Formats: sequence, structure tokens, C-alpha cells
Amino acid sequence: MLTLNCTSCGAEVFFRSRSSVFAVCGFCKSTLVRKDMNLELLGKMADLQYDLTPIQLGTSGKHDGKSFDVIGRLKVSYSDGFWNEWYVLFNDGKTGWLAEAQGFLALCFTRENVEIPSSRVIKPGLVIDLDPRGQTGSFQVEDIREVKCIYSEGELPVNAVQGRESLSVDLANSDGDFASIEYAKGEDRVFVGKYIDFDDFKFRDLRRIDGW
Amino acid sequence: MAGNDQAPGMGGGSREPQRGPSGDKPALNTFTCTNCGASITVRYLGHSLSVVCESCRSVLDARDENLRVVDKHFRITQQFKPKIPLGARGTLRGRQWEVIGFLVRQDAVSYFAWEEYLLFNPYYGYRWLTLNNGHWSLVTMLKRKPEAWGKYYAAGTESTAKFDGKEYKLFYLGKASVLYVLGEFYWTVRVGSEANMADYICPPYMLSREGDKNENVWSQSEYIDAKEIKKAFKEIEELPLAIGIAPNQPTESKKVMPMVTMLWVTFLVLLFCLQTIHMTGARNERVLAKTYSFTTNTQNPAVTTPTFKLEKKKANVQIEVRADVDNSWFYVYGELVNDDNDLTYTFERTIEYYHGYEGGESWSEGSRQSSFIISSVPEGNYYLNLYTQSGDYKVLDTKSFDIQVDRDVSTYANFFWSLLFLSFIPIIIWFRTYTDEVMRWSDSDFSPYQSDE
Repeated sequence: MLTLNCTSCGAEVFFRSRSSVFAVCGFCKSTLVRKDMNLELLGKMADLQYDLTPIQLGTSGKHDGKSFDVIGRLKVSYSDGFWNEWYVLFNDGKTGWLAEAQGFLALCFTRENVEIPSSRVIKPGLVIDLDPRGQTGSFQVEDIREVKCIYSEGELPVNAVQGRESLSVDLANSDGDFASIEYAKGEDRVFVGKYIDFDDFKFRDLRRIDGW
Repeated sequence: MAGNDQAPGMGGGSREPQRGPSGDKPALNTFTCTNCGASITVRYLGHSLSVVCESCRSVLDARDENLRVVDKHFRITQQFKPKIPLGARGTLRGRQWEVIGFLVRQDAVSYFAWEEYLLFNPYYGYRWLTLNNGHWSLVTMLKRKPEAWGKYYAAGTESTAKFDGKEYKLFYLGKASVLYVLGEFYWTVRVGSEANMADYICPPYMLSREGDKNENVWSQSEYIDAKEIKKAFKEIEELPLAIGIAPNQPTESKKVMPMVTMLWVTFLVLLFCLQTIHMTGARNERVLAKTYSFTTNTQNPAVTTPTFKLEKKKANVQIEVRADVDNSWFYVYGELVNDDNDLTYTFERTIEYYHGYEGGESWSEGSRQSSFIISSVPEGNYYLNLYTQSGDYKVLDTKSFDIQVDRDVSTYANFFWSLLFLSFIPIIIWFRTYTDEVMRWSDSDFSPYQSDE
């Protein structure tokens, strides 16, 4: 774990994952970008209103017998709602994303070296091969949404400042797997994963929701 | 577990967001309707996208800081009161749910209307309760899409859908429109909005596909007994009576049928085995065959047969009497007596045979012989006492009758009686299952019990 000091208030800022390049100071809400061992101040994160998610930074869970901790979050909005992308760190150092929308949870992992078509040709029904070895990677495009980052916290592998715009494409295959492509300025990312039942994660340190 | 241990070490900083406005506030937010000025409560701001003003029935954008009006005053043609009040909480299938939205939808063609209750739990998301003809179902949105195939392409859809290894049959195809809304929703509701619907059934489950040309959403419903609903939500005053059999209602008959069929087959096999053992083990031994004479039209003195030995500890005895009757009758009263201990079995038989020619047709009735079985006769030396009598003979004459005794004969009577007895309940259940299924499918355009029109 790397510990740096907030450029703005001097509080400690933690980078538990080596792939994290962005953090929000937990004390003064400054948004910081990490350039090697130095932090650069970008701005300030405005508070989030009416946040009802049961997950929070520090929540831990299990997947395939391995434990993970939630270390960062990106909340995006689109024309018909919101969703959260929780950045999780497994105890073996591997990272993943836990997408949370309307009570559905999908655990996804970044898939590197995938050739994806340009965002301009993406349309529902298009079949894309997301397996670099060309084996079982045929996914069909289901939804295309223009999203905007409205909040971020903790540490993240992307520069998740408020207002960051991207195009989010949801895909599914016949086995019930979930995939997502994010077209953002200068960084297109591919994720592949599965929908998993809330209880199967055996979450700990969830956020208390009043009245529940 | 290293991850968990380290969690507290992340420092207070990471947990700060809890201090924000969301953390400690009760989940109630009150606003003023931008259309009529009435007060509106939004329970799950941040999740709900639209909320209906209870006083002016405007649909407001719950995401918009100013509660922008989405749909002003929808025209109320009918007033609907939710059977479960908004805000009520109840536990269904082990999870607690709060009713936050209510809508009434109707079939665009038949105007048949049903109610839908939106349920919410901040941990598990959303579910639906549907109320249709008094029948309840708990509905879960599916993220994995079922496979669909089959022949109803003429109707614009597939006849079969498969999900989690179960096959579902097309039951309903139509267009549903929103008639009435109340409460808050995670999407922007609009009264009058239409969706194409297809329901596939595999009781107690149903798969529903809903959508438009661009997008289809699948959901799975599970039939819930009204008693369970009533138990879950104490606020319910009265529930409507269930009418008919719901598309996904599990019927008692269908539930017990596989079990009954299995038991029936098991016993049938057992019965066949027993019959086979019985038949191969039977001695079929003739122990007596005698002919005696008698004088017609009178009572004859008693006849006693020689003694004969019945082997095998306990077995049946078949007695056959054959008499020379022709438009006359012969009656015998007999005693099968154990010579050693005087154990006696009695029997009586009338043998009659009549025939003639009347109105251009010949007729006959009765027969010249009679045979019967006495079961469970112990072994020993036996003899028969026979008292006979006859009548209707044209002349006084001497005729003869034969008597035959067989030990341990194979019979089918027990087998057939057992079979009948054994099949009685299954037949009723099979019939009941059939009639239930016919009734279930009577509301469907795709009934397998209906031949093509």
C-alpha cells in the first residue's frame, strides 16, 4: 500500500492497488491524480445527495472463495437513472469492478488487448468478439448509454472527476455472462463478468440503511 | 481474510461519505408538488426516478431538484385503491419488501385490468407483486435472457421459452397499457404508455417478456398463495377471492400427480410380480372327479363323496358342478368337511339352462355348469356332502351330475380386484389434472387442449 499526502490538506491518501491513479481525499474531498509518487490536485468533489446504496468503501465480500475489499467508487448517471461502479481489490492483488444498479450486482474484470469496434458503429444487436484468443467471447450489444460521472470516492484506476463523460455499452452472451465496453476520452475499456446474487457475496461492513 | 483485517486501517477518510446528508437521515423526503402545491413524500430519493402527486395525479421527475412535471394530471377514468397500502412492509420468501409503487395495467384489446405493486428493499432492489383475478405472483426481473423458439411466428412470437432448464409454454400475447399510477418508480412512468407482452408458463412459474421493437425485458413470476400475502402484509384489510385457475397456479392435482403415478407404477409392478409368483407356484391338482345320478323334479337323498387329500398348508379349492339341465334347474347344497376335525365349508349353487325360439329369434340363458372357489382351506383329508334337488324337467327321469374338486388353482380375480382398487384414486387424479389444465388454458389463445379453429 502506498501512502501519500493530500496536496490540499495534508491528510493521508492511500493507494492500496498499484493500478490506482486517482483518489479523492477522504478528509477534504480534493480530487487527486497520482503521477508516480506525486499527487496533483485536480479539484474538489461535491457531496452526493440521496445515496441509498448498501455498499460503501471498506465493505468486503467474497467471490470464488477469495475475499475482496471495496476501495473506490464511481457513480454515473444517464437519462434513465444511475448506477454505481465499485472498484474492488482482491486479497491476491487482483482488481475488479462491482457494478450495482437497481439491486442487481455484476462482478466484472477488465479484459485487456481486445479489439473493439469504434463507438460510432455500435448498435443494439451487434455481435462483438471479446475474447482475445477468439474462443468464447461472442457478446451481443443490448444497451448503449451516454453516461456522466456524478461522484467518485476512494481510489480508482481512472481519472474519475465529476462530469467525466463516457459511452457505456452493455453486452450479454447466451451463457448469461455480462460484458461492458466503456468508451471514454482516450481510454476505452472492456469488462467481462457475471450477475451474482447479493447474498452470494457474503458482504461484510455494509452501510446501514436507516429503517432497514 | 487479509483484506478484511486491513479494512479498518483504511483510515476514517474512506468512510467519510457516511457523514454526508444521506447517511443519518430517515428515508423520507417531503417536497411540494410543482403542479398543485400539495405535499409529496418521496421515500427513496436517489433510487426513484418519478413520483406521483397523490392530490393532482401529476407524475413528477424525482431526480429533478425542482420536481419537474413529467405528466400533468393524468385523466382518471376509474379510481383504484391499492389492496396493500403504499409504505407497507412485508416479508416474502425470506426477504423484507416495502410497497412503494402501484399501477394498474390493462390489456389493450380486452380491457382486462390487473394490478401491480412495486416492492423495494435497498439491499435487494426491486420486485413486483401482481394481482390478477385474485391471484398473486412475485415477479423478479431477469438479467439473463431465456431462450425462446417454436412455431407461433405467425402471431409474431415463439411458442416455447427455456430458462434454468425449465420449458415454458406460450400462454398470452398482447399489448398492455398503463391505466393508473400511484407512488414512486425507478423509471419515468406515464399513464397510457404501452408495451408488448408475452407470457410463458411452467407453474408455479411464469416468464414474461415485455418491451418494444428496440428492447425486451424478461421477468420471472412465482405464484404466491393469497394467504401468504395476507400474512406478510398486516395492513391488508380484505383480499379479493381468486377466480378460476391462474396461468401459473400450481394445482393440487398436478402437484400430487407425479407421486401418484410413481406409486401406481410401483404397486403395479409389485402386483404383477405377486401374480406371477402365485401362478407359477400353484399346484392345480385335481383331487376329485365323480359322477352321480339324480332323480328329476324332486329332492334327492344326500350323497357323500370319497375322502380326498388336500395338500399344501393353506390354499384355495375350486369346485365345479356340471348337471344335465335342459329347460330345467338343478340345485345343490354342499358341505366340504374336514375328516380329521369336522371343519366345514358350505356352499349352494343353482344350475339352470333355458332356451327357446320366440319371435323369429332363438334365445338361451344360464349354463349347464357352475364353478367357484373357496379360499384359504387348510390341508387335510376332506369329503363332500351333497344335497340336491331339481325341477322343471318334462318327465320324471334319472339324470347325472358331475363334481370336480381342484386344489390350489391359479386365479386372476384377486389380481383384477387389486388392480381396480389400486387404479381408482390415480384415475380420479388424472382426470382432475386434465380438467384443471383445460380450465387453466381456457383463457389462452394457445391452449394445447383446443384443436385449431
